[in-house]
Amino acid sequence: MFDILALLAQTAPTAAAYASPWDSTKLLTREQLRQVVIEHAKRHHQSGTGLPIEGASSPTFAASALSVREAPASVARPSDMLSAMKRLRAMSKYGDNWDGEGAPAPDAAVVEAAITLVGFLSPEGLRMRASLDAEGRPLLLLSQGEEEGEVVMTSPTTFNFAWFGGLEDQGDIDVIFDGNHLPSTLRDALPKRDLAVAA
Amino acid sequence: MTAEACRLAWIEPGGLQAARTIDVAFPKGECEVFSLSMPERAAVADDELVARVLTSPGDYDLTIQEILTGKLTNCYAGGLSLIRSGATDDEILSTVATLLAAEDAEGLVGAVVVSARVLRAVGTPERYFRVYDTDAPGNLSHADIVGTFDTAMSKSAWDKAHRKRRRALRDAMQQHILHAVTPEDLLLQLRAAGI
Repeated sequence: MFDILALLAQTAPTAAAYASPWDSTKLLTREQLRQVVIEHAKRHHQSGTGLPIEGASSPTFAASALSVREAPASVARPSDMLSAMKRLRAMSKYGDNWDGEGAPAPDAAVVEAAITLVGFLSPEGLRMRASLDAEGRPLLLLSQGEEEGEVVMTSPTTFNFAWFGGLEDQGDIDVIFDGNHLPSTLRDALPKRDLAVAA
Repeated sequence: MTAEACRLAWIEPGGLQAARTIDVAFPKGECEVFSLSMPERAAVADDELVARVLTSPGDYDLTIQEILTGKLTNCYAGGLSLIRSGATDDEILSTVATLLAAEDAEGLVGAVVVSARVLRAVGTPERYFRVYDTDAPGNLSHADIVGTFDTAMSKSAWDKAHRKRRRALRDAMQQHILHAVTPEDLLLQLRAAGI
């Protein structure tokens, strides 16, 4: 649980400052945050370790005992995830020629799917930037150390991705995304996070 | 292969298909010796300096000081716009104003200033990109970086390949950034750099 709490410790000290990336007019609810934490815990649970889970369910993140300095470098900066989501939210409202060079307006449903995907990518410990490509499709630029890749949402239920810098380049096209989990073809291509935590 | 055939390949159907159409029609880059704009205009020579204006956050990540590859997807659509040497002050300032007025722009970063040779050398010995003299509204000194396409690759292999090529272009451009705070400052720096 250390890495989850480190993630929370780096966020705003109170939930009141935590605007929902799904709707900027609302606060992130405890249930929404709890879903992210639980999803992450299912995949990274280490028996016999970790701080009490009670701290993770509290909306007051300052309750975490970990400081920012103690967080492992590979933990995804929550600011990256939130920035990506907020940027995508803003871009969903762009019109034609949003870049001044003739790019078409993005499809709001495709952008929503990208926002959902960002949520599933956040526990992977990646640096993340959100963009649009020349066709107005959401493009997530990802990196970890010297490795980098990108995911482009091609429809509300499909994406293409590529990952470079590992033993071999990886990628796939027309990957089905149901909005409920990170597709294994993408998850398996991403570098494994370093779960070691400073004492 | 004639100049007119090249221009037609660029403008019909044009738009987001322009890059693919011209490269499929002339895969050996035969059209680089012509202007795709007007017959009397010169093609972009290898040693000509060209400039790509950068804004943030669309083109450039200020936190890591790096060009973002997202905007470079234009190379495979309608072309990635460049300012050519010899552009007037009005053309340069107008281009900057247009880009700063775009929805994805919050501020000016500066510009990449580089010779066409450097851009054409990306991917050597293969040619990943071509530089053409092209049209732009109100700008006679305009060029485009246009990506080449490998039609022999499978769809999935090409999807990976062109993403990797954009990284290579980014790495080439990253070495040649002039930073500027205002359009007027950028204009002065572009002139000093030889644009």
